[in-house]
Amino acid sequence: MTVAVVGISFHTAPVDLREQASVRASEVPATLQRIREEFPGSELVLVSTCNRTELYTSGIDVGVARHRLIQALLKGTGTIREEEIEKHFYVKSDLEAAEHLLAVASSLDAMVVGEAEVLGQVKQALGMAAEAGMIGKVLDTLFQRAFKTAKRVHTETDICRGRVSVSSLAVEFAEKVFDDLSTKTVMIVGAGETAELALKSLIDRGARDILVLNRSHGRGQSLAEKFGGRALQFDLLDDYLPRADIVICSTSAPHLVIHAAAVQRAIEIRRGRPMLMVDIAVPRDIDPAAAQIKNVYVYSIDDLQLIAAENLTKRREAVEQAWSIVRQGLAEIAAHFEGGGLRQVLRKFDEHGQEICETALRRALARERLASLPEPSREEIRELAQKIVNKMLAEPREALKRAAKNGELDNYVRVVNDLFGFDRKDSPEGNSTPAAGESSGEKKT
Amino acid sequence: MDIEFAVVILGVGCYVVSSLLAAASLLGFRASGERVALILMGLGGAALAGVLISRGLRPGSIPAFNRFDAFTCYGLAISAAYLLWSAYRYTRGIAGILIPYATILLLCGVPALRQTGGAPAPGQGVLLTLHVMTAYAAFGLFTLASLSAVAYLMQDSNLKHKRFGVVWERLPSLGALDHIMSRLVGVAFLLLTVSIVLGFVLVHKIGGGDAWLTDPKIAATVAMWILLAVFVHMRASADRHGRGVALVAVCGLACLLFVFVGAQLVAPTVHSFMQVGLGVNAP
Repeated sequence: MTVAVVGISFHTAPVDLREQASVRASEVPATLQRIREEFPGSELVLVSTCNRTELYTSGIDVGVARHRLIQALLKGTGTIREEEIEKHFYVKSDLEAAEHLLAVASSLDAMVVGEAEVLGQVKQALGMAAEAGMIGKVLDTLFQRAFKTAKRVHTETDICRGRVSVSSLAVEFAEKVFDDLSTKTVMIVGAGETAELALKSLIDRGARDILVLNRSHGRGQSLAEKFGGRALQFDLLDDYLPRADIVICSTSAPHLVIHAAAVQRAIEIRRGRPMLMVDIAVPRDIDPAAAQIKNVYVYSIDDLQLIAAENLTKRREAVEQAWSIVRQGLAEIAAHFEGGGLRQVLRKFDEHGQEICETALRRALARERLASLPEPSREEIRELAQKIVNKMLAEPREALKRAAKNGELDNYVRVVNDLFGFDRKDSPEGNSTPAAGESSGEKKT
Repeated sequence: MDIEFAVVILGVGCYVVSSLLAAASLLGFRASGERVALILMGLGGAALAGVLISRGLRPGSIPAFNRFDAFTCYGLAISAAYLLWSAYRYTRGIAGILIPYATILLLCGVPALRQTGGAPAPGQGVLLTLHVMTAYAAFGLFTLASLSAVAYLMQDSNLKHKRFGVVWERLPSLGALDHIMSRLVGVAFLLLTVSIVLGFVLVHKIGGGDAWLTDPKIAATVAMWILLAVFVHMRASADRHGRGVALVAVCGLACLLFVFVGAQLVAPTVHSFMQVGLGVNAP
């Protein structure tokens, strides 16, 4: 297996450097093409997210070509800080690279452990590389096995259970209260950053009818335009409250903005239809007494942060279990690639034995003394020769299989190649070797 | 051990395993258990339905006149309602409440497997069959709606008290549960109305007297019908939603249970199907 990863991530670089090294999705094919031109015959996948830019390769000796590879990768980003950024790049090869990919795909290497979005991003990266014709047998197998392992991690452990950000928790609550968000009205009171994130998440889950109320009408209007909603005057809040199924508050007001009486009135007008109210403002915008009203579900920033922390703890508890699955996946990958090497060397063994046997027989049976032998006797000699060769190669074959099981195949293959001259035969200069082999075979016979 | 007994044990056994799986799934022990539970419930239901059909094929017999038949019909009606609903729109989580409920009903019926009920009077077969079928269909649909209301109240309590455990995660959204209630109660109300009308026609046909009008079971049935009417009105005319509507549905279920098993324990009834009754044996 000759795979490697060259990359930069939140582990090694701050965001201002990461964004310099990131490659936009539309630039990925051109970047891959440029690297391929630099390294013909290589396989390439480029994963570029807000937290990492990583280039997975096969067929490139990254120990030697690290600098060239990083330069080729950064060329497309237009950065002028290449030298500074290069220092933050890491390089991993073979099983270490495979383990890294498995950890990334399984969300173990994510900034927030268990954030499953990264799996989709890795799949997308593989898709783009495949479309650009950058994928071969090695990387395809490696990534497919990484996806399989990631799926196991996500389904067999609690690593992805429970949301851990305020905005995603708001969506989770909305989905537990309402059946279909596309028919619900979302009201944003105050145009804070977290409220905007929550609104974006709700829109991603289908919410369509958006009402934005902000003290500064202009800011409210621009937020409404951004998300296809309607901006309303702030003093219309109580009038529009009964229409809202989901209310997200994030004003900087030092006093309550939504009083319990207004909520009570709203729920009566709504005839008991549930209302979800998420208060992410400090100090609070929604009267805590509103939580006592039937069919009203109020969550403050403290509630959300507490749940997020609990979920994060659960995820961390699942990390060890997830790593054990990753290790299993890694062992399978190692066995797969070493299995391929083993099959190759065993095939060479067979071909080599067959070649020796046939050459020796051809020469021996051509001699005058044996040429007159009847066909049954010639057949017996052939079988005998074949048995001798098989017997001689049996023990080395078993030793190779044992080595593959113990993860020592590479060393054995090197020795075997050297002893039997497989490398010399495979190389263009070694084309004359069979002739040399023939002569030595002749000597032996 | 005769074949009928063996099939009943097999069917009820399937239900017992199914309810354990569904409850375990709701409590978070085995997430994938609910689908297997549904399959097992379907198999158990098919076995028990086979027993009822074979009993119904006997001349002049309607399999609804003894405790076994009555409990089995009710349990199967709930299961059928749930399977039909799942085929229309699979709603995860309710099985953990519904299948154990149906299993308890079936277990209540098993000891009375050998009990025999009275046969209907001549000429009443078709009307009586329709009366029984519409009643059980209404019971099945209404029970599913009511158990959804139970799940609604559980989920409401989880959301109110910020208990975000496995049950919260496994139960469907309030909206999905509200949808089941609103869809099924209307149909259940219609079927129960038809069944009650058919019942009155039957009483008139057999020349039943005042005993029927003052019978506790008939009174409880009418009370249940009124509760259903209130529920349908709350949803259809008054457009009410939320916890209050769910509470009415749960009260309706309590009323249904009283109609089914409680009434004859309180006072003698001419409409008993748990034993040979005082008058005509009809459900």
